[in-house]
Amino acid sequence: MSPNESHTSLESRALWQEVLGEQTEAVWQALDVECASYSLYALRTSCLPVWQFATAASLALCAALAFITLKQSTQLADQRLDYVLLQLQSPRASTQLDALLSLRTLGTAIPEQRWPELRNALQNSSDPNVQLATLELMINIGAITQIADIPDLLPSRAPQQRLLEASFQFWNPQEH
Amino acid sequence: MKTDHFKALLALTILSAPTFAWAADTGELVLADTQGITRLLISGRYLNIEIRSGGNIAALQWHQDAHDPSLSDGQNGLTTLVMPAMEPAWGRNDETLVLRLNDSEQSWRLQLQVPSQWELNVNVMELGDIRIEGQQANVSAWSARGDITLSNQNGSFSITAMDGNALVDLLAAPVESSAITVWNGDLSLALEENLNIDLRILESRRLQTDLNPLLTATPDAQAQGTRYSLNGGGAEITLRNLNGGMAVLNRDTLP
Repeated sequence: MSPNESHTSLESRALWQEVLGEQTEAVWQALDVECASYSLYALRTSCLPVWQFATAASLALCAALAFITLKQSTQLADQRLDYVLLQLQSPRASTQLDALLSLRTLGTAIPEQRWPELRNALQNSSDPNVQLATLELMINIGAITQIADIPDLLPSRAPQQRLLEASFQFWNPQEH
Repeated sequence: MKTDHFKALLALTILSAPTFAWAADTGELVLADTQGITRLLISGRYLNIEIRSGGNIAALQWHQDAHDPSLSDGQNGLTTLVMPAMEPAWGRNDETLVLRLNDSEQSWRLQLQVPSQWELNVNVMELGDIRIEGQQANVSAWSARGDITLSNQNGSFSITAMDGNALVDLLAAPVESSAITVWNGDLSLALEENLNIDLRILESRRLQTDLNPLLTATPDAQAQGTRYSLNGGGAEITLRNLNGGMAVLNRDTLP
């Protein structure tokens, strides 16, 4: 016991003595004999592992919840992408434009294995605005980097083919 | 007896189709049963098309242009004989009414009356103007060479004029994404000042306007193009012009 601790203990004992009055001696004896030793024992050997266990359990629970949340959000993102790509197959130009707006917000989150679906939309849509919006998206995500990457459309869609190529050159003047 | 039957049949045929009996270059078709049809698709190479909304009747007046520049006589002294054309025929594919003239080298002028709730898909692959008035549904139209005019439109739209002007006059804000693209020509969009829309301007860096919400809107420069939110924003309308002017006009001050 250091001198400082001893000093503090004496002060503390004096305070308790003032409060407890005649009962002081009996209380201190009881504490010394029973509770104090048991309390010290309990604090040193039992309570600390419980707190450690609780902390560790909380951390594990948080990690599990984070993993589940991440997995679910990934699944939701995949489902949303499935849905939007399905919308892109609609025969209505406005539905397709809505889908392309959603895809634009996803941007580079569109995985490479889904790029063929964008390519199909570019090739099969009969609406030039849908084709241009698809081309813009594919350029932005790196699915089309040169004019040769633009798929060949049906001969009956020659005007759209020329428009797509002109737009590509407009956006990439160095490409020919 | 057989002769009487033949005469009666001939008379009935002539009475039921008077225009087709003598001339195939002009005529009228009325579609009596439009039950279940929600969409009209028209495509062809040389078409001038006017479509008006009207009731529940679908009707087509057609005329094959006599002075077709693509069929004028050459300089070699030979005369081109123009074969009588078959009249256009409606087709049906589920809920879509189809009128295709893709294989025709002739130039056609079509005037149609269709229910305003029908969605329209109109394509001109070579040459011709498209005029559509008063539709209350999605309209998708493009022409390789010719003007496109959409007036009193109350629905989403996708318009492309590759070599010509495009004018869209909006009655109400579309609820779905819409777009106008012009390659060589002028692009005009006329709308009410109070419509809630997002305008996305691509390719063009100059825009003429007398629309107050657009004049006061803060431009949001993006990686491609500029975006303006009018009256709090709404469905997106993309305007794209590769070579030409672009104007967004107040339809109340249009001449």
